[in-house]
Amino acid sequence: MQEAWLEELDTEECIVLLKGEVVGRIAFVHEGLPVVLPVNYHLLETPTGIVLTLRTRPGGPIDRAPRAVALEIDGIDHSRQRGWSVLVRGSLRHLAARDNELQEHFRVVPWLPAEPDVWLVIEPVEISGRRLQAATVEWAFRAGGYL
Amino acid sequence: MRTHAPNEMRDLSLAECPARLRLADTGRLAITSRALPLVVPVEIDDVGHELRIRSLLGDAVPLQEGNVVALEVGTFGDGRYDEWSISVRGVLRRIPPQSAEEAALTQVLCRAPLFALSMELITGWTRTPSANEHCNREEGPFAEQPRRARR
Repeated sequence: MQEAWLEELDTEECIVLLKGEVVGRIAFVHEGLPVVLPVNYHLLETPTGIVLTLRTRPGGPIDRAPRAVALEIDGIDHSRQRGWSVLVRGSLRHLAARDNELQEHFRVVPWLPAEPDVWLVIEPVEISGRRLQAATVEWAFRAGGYL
Repeated sequence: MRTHAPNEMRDLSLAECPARLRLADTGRLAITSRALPLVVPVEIDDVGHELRIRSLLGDAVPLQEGNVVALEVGTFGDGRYDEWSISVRGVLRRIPPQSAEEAALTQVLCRAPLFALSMELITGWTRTPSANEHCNREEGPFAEQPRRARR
């Protein structure tokens, strides 16, 4: 039997996984305590790199979050006891007027028309990912062999 | 009895939160590492007065006894079903392996240490999507959570 092992994902693979998801968990520290919330995000590729854009409610926890944040996405396969996780640690900031180029890429049609929203950007400082490979047995039971 | 309109978000009661937690097997745990946030997926098991949690990333993440952590558990589908999220804040307590066999299995399966999480604070919300919401799914089901339903 081969033991399960953790595999580091390279940055390119992490970005591919980030592109394929729309819901992540954002975490930050508020008054010394961790906070984690689900959030929609969208990955944008810019000439200087990638950014993650978020839409949030004005005055809410994410709107008031500190600069240092982490955003995590994952895919867990319980039946096979394997999965992956990508963690982006970065700097959160509000979309500024100088970000005209970024704004053009945003989907700004609000989901709830009457609801105002605020757009934020996470500029990644570190992107890391891991994949848990399940333990494998050296032999396999093949039902077909008995048919 | 009050019914809730599609898209309306409402807070889950203290009775509803544990009931939903029992349905879940995965959550995301936020910890503070050197004053910076970190998130790790965890498997969870509700044992009543506390949660049992184990990192799904082996021991790559430094969970420690006494850590004050935040756990988020939720379900977000394709916009056709109820969505919900529960946040738990508490303190981690290490649970040592109960036998040599369990310790060996933990190593073979690259499993992380087991922790108990006290449930000091628990909050949650749920939302029923509107019928055509999944058409706009890429726009996102929510701006942020938790928040109260608007009148």
